Amino acid sequence: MNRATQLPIIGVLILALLGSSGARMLCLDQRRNLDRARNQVVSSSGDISRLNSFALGLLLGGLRGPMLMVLWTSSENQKTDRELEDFDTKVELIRLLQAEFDGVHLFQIWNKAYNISVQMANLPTKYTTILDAMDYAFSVDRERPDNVSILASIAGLYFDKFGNSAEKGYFSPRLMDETLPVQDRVRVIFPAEKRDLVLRQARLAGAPVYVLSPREVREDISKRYIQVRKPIADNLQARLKDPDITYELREVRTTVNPQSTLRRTEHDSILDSEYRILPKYLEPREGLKPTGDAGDGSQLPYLPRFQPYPYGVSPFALAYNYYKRCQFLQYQRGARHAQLSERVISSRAALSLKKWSEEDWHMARRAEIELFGKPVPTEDAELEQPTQSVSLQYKLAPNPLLNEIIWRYENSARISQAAVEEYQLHLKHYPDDIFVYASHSESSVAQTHLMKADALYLRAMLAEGEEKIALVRQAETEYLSAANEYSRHILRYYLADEDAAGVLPPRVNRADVLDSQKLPDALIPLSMAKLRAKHAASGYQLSNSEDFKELDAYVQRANARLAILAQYR
Amino acid sequence: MPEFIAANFAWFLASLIILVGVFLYGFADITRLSVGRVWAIGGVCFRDAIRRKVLWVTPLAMLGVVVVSMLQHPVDQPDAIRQTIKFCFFASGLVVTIIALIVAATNLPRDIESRVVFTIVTKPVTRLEIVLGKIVGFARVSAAMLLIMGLFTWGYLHLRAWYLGKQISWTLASPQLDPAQREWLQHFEDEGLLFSQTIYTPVRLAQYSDIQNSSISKLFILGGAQDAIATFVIDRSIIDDPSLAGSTYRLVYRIPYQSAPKLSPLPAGVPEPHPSITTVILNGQADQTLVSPQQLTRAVAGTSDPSAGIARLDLPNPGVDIPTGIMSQLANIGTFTVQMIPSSERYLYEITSDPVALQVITPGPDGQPVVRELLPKAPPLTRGSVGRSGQQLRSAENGVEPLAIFRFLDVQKPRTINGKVPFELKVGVDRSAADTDTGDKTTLEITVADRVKGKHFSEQPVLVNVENRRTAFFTVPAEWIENDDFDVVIKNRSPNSTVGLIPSSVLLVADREPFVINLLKGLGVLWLFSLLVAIIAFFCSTFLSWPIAVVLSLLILLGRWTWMQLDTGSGFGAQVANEFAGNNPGLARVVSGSVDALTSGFNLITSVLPDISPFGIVEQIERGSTIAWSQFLPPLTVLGLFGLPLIALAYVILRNKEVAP
Repeated sequence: MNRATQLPIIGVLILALLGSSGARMLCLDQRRNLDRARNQVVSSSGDISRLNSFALGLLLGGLRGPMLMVLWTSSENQKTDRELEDFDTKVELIRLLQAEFDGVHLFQIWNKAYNISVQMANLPTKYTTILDAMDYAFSVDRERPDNVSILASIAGLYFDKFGNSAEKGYFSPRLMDETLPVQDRVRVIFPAEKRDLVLRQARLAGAPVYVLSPREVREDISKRYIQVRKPIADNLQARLKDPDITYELREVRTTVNPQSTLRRTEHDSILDSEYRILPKYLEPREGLKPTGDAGDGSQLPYLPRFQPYPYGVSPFALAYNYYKRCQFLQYQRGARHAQLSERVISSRAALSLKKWSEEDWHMARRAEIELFGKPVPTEDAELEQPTQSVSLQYKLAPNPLLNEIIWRYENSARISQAAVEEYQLHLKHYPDDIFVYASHSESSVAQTHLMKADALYLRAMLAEGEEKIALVRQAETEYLSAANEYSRHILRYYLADEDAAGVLPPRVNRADVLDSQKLPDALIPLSMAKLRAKHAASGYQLSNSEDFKELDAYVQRANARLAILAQYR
Repeated sequence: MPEFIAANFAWFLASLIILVGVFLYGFADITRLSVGRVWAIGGVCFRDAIRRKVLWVTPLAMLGVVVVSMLQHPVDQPDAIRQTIKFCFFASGLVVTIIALIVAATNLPRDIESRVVFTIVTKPVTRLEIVLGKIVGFARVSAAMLLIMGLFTWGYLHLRAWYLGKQISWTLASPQLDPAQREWLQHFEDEGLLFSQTIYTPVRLAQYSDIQNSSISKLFILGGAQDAIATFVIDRSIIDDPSLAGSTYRLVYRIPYQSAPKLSPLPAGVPEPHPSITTVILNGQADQTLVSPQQLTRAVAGTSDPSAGIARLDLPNPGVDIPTGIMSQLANIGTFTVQMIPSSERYLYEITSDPVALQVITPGPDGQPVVRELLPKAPPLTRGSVGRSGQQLRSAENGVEPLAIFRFLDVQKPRTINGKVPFELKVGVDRSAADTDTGDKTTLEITVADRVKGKHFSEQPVLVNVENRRTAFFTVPAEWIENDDFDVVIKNRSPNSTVGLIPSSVLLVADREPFVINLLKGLGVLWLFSLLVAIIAFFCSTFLSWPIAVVLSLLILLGRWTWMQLDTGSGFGAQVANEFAGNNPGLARVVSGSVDALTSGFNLITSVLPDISPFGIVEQIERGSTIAWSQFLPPLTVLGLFGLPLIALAYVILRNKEVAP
């Protein structure tokens, strides 16, 4: 080919390239205008965030397909062989090369959070591996905003991995701690023999349990250290006043290096110094007007409702936020999840709130047991009994841990109340689900009373005189409601049909239990006593004995407290 | 064929080709060979390649490296630099291989097509000088490209290392950093990200069990968790010797046992297990079962006394009788290994001295049996149960503490840092449950036993936190490693987790050298590879058009490697027949036979193709392991065995080829 024929061909190629770029820009502009008119989706940053995808595709030319085949095979082989070096890079390249495929992203998010994290030996590494899965999901979210499948995956990671997995005892408190405002840390160094003293006082000063694993000091093996936030360290120092214990300030610059492509080591802080959601998480996406819900594309639009968060944001709260965004997109925009039904997506927000309220309940219970110096049981079902008979006269000195317990009880009551509203919203769209979620909703009502009562009881312990009496009266009312609601719940759902006649009053059946006209409050204790005796007689071997025991523990706690409060009439 | 010739057949064949092709057929050209003319032809070839702008490919490769490095998603900074090294070497290797292939395959056909060759062959140069000159020219092109890519790699890696080093300092300044991650990053802050170190690997990994807090010096293995293997060397005489006619053969065990010291009670109704040994007979390398427990049981059941020997024997016992037929097979093989698998974690089995022997029991003239006893060729090797990550090391249980022992031998004085000797440790970790009660980390306890002094430095063990398949670093006092023969002893201190170990799980870092030297060595190996590629491509181009020459060169280069990846071992035909022929036995026989015949054919063909695996050194550079000079020998051998004969053949073909009227 000579130069004379080459030049026109090159010219045509350049013109074609420019023409296709121009056509693409016009189409995108048109699409953006249409979306803006509807106040939805498309982000102007989308093109920039997809630059990597374009660059990689361009670099590979026509080899994108073969490259993907190699990447998929080798990354899956590496996973099977548990040789995970380079694995993340391969997954990242797959993400960039298959940016348009939801199925790929859903698989990889799940792959990292479940298959890969489970291969890690230590909890901190498992935690950061799940954060990496979360980062992957957020990368896709930036490129494909308001995608129900991706948002539900993010919510699922918060709900199932951080909030509800076997390792939740470590994950959830750490996540809450990391969402708190950026604060300096203090290294508390102490002689090894003072370990128990320091840990106990640090806990009373409000240190989360997960930071209370002392490490050896490199330069002096007779000493140990823990690292806590500065306000906690200040409180600890005021409590201990021990010259053997030293405090080293460690300044924190920022939490995460935004330029880094490395795997993150911690979750972002999302709260300001007032423990409110940082404004950047509430800003509408570029080009959209603020609406206060998922319609404006802001990241955490549903969390301000429950702020402030003095002890960090629960993973269930974050799950709630993202499930609410899914719900909004589903109800308002007709969006659909690629794999889950609309019914499932719709119900998740309520479930998240319920789990959040239960998490606060159990965290508060554990802390309360610690506060009263009793051994903390591992099973949630065993948390009710240890402190139920603590006297109202118990001399409690105000401390940060006590404040946290009261806050968590009150928050649990507030959130369980919100869960009831959320269940009602779901049932409005899917009335058939009443058979599934009615019991959830009813137990949340009972929980609200119990949590309020427990908070009031602790407040009453601290109060004196008239204030104490007023608090006692309020607590009594709440405990009574809790006992009745839980009892009705047990009699409604955990009473076998064949036993109903022997347990319930004449002419009352299980369907009537919730009706206070047919089963007045005064008759409930007798029915419960009969049912209790029945389970005891069987050695708790009846089909629903386990559930009964768990729920009856709440009734018994309420009754034990009522017995104590009765002394103040 | 004599054994010496069979073992060195490839060398003989290569020498024969060179001898006949060059020294006999081309004797006249040998006598006229001029290094100056070879170099001059090489220079022409090099300048021609430069004129064809082959070096312009290097900026593209560099751009590719930079882009992919920016898109990588490493776990941390050491991972980032390791991946960047891989990208750099991959790009360098790819570019230099492709260019060598294309330049070498197209050079001669282009010369012929453009009639440039007329001007060469009409000069007083021999065909041998042309062939050698072209190869030298290709080698110079490859060297130039590798020089450019090497300079880029050196510069870019240092730039990345500087930037990532700053990130490490930044990350270490973060007080929230997890302590285990801090220890890991601190190591790289101290030692740098680009390094090359000489390492010693253990010669052997064994496992035993100790009774916790006791000073008993017996060697125990724990039932259900560890086993022992002993290798016997026998010959046909034990079967064929007339004096041994009518003999019976018996494996006897002398394995005292005792209960674990702190046994938890068994659930109600579960009987206390009895200590027993299960026997498996393996081939000499202990990687293939020759006689399984079931086969032994079946074989023994067919003898006159079925109760005489069963595979699983309750202890103490008379031993396992090996039927004469099986013994005859073993004698044909010559070397076999007996694997002794003890049962139940509630027992410890002592294997201090000669735990197993092979008895040949011959009826004596007086009716009394005459017993001849053969012992294994070496004391038995004790091992942990093998899991996905290697030998499994459990934590202490029932008062028994399993130990992994890595034996180091002939270790020359390693370097010390502040009076300590550095080691690397990489293990697999399986946690049995996602439990938070047993702590958030997996910890190993490390001590050293000096075999020369007979002293175990166990007073102040080193504790190391490990993560699954991630290198951890630890140091031990230099006085623990004063002699060249010592054991590194590891205990697992984390309940509910099992650690998987392989012999190379523990490495002793003996010395360091500058990264640039390792880089140059790596590029040197790549250059040898490009030379091989160029020779093959040039050889193919002497009798084929260049596109076909390129394809054939790729086939020759990758044929053996690809065939090895298919992993067609014995029984491949049956395996394929099983997949495709279903329940049709006739078809299965045909498929199986055809596939086996094809496999044999391919095996034969690929056995004469070059093995390119010795050129793979990137992983070593990535991991910062020094390339020893001796590692150049295998690539040079491939080049000698394959490259030199091909040069000879190319010369013979070219000499007989009419390239000009």
